[in-house]
Amino acid sequence: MKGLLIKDIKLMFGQGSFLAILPIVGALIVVPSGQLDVGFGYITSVSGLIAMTTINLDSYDNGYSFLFTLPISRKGYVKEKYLFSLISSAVMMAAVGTSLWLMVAAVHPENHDGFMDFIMDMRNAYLIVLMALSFLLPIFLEFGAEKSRYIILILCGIFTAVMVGVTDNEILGEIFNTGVKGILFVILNTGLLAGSYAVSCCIMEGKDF
Amino acid sequence: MLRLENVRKQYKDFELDITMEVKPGYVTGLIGRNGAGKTTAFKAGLGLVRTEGEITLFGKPLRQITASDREKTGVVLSDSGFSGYLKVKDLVAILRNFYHEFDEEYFTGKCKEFEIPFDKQIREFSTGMKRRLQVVAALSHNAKLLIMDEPTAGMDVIARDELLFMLREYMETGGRSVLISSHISGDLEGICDDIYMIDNGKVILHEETDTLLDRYGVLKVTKEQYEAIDKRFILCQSKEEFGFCCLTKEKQFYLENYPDVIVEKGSVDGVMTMMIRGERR
Repeated sequence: MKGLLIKDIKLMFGQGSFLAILPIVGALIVVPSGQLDVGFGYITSVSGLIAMTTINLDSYDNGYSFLFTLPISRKGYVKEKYLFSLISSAVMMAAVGTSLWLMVAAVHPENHDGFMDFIMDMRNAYLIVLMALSFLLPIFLEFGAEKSRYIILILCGIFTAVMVGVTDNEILGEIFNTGVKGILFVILNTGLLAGSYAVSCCIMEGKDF
Repeated sequence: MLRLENVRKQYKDFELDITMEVKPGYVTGLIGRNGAGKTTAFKAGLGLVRTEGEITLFGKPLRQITASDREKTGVVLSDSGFSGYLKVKDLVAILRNFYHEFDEEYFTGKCKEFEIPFDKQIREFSTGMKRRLQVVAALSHNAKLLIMDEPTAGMDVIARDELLFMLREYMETGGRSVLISSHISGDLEGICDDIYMIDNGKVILHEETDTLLDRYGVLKVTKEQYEAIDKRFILCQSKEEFGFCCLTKEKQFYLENYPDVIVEKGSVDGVMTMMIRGERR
């Protein structure tokens, strides 16, 4: 597990230019309008996709064959992917989100949300990312990056729309921000992730490399 | 060490059906034409493809093999390796955390010796350099069994020699085994204790290398000589312009009894060509 996590971290940092460009694109989206809500949609999408990139790199050039000769089980691989996805998306959201929040604060102080509002929005966005990962991970593991891209494009669109709705605090936002419903949503998310993990394990166990 | 018993894998237009064993202390070679099933056999032995039949590794059924059992194998595959987006310096940290017995000094020392760059992405390496890196990694964690599919592919003569030397060195420690395939038969003749020949997914010959080189031979006979010779020890034959080529496991018998017949010494290439192209008796 530790070896796999180190591999994924090295792979992620190996994509240096791609990582560096994320806050720049985010700034281009958010700074002109001063609307952090739109930025949250963007952050949510890219944070989820970071983890998928490592799956893509693992499978690239028939890489799974060699990977599964190393001292790891297929279930262990899936477990690591979920763990890495949860951690990397949280770190990515915190880094890019905070940068954008600071930029909006500097350029559009009149639109600027308070820090606690920002944290609440980040929490909501992270729950959406977890939900997205529950779908994305099995899709990527089953179909690989090439075949998954159309499904991913549709999902990205849906989740970006949901994020805008959530952070508008009108319809979906209510689900997160009222105590009981919020807890139910967390439970739903946890259940989805657990189900997704079980499906991903079945997918990997049944594959030939 | 590794045993495949009646292992079957069915693809759309190909079927592997194989029984073979890598014994402790043995270097076992697997040879065959392109598409004969060598890589599928390797993948079956490593549990990378689902198969029927019984596969045991270190005496355990493959499905019971744990991560720590996997630490005792070192693998080189012909069509797969470390992610091309990693660098050798990344691999040091990764391998250190995968293998309890990873010998960092050996790994970095061999990489330097083979002039493998530490700070360059693996995808930028030549085929030969990628192979060298895989071999060094496979040898760096005190594996009990090496499984190497075409480890010398893309290597020049010197690098191949160095690799074979490393394998001989590896085998000096007792209780270790190697399963190796190569399209360069000279590599196998020099290092293997026994050889499996496969064709169309089936083992067509299994023999100790010494036996194959000492006792096998190819007779080159005219039609008249062919009619006259004792055919009890002919394994297969092929029709040629001058008459027939016949593969025998009793070269000495023909040398002693038919002094006019041309008898060529057995070689892995010669035997394989005859076994595949010839008509079996």
